[in-house]
Amino acid sequence: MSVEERLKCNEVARSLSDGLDADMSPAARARLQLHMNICSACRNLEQQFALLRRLMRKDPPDKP
Amino acid sequence: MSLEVQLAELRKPLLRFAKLQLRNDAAAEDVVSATMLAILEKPAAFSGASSMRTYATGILKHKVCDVMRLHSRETSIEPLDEQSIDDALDALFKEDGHWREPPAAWQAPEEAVEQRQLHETLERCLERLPARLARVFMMREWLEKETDEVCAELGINANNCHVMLFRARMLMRGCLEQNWFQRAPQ
Repeated sequence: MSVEERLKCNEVARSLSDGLDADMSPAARARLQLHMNICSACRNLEQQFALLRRLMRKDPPDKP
Repeated sequence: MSLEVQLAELRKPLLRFAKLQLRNDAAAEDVVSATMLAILEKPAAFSGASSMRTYATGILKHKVCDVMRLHSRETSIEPLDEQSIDDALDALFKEDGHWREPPAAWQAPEEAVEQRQLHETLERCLERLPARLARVFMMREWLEKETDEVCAELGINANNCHVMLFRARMLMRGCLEQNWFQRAPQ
């Protein structure tokens, strides 16, 4: 797949998840970035995946 | 607060996470007891640099890993209903691959992370995940294992592992959105 070929949101969602578990090739990263530049919904998803990871790896606040 | 009292307060949350990961109540009780014992036997090892909860959770994670290594071949988990999960995820997208209901930004996520109730919602969402997905997801995100370790320990190939992590993340984000971010007082 060339960098110019546009990814769709469902493909981006999967790529964002894969990117949390393995390195991406520069070409794959570039394709992803092209999409992220124009799609606020996928940018929101990226932030939500990141928040989910933070929540999983952070201890809950102690009881007051 | 005495060490015994601190540990007694931690028992329930530690047990919840051990059960979620091991899916075996007796094994979860054992690892939590072993964690408590390890702390009580060497109280001086707790430097106080982190909270007791962080310290105990770190020990618990090691003990959970040990149990999983020992019993990985014996543990059976119900098969995944892949079709229904795929259908649920497919329904998020239109036929052209774009979002049917685009994810909206979550309000005040930084403040939310510090709220205990959000962590409780997170635990309830974890409990609702299909067992097989929960195990893979927790190995990656709670035990912080590398993906190739997760694949090797569970005897699944890398692609399958990535698919399962993707499904788990999508289900978890949906659950958090539905049960917290669309409901939380802003």
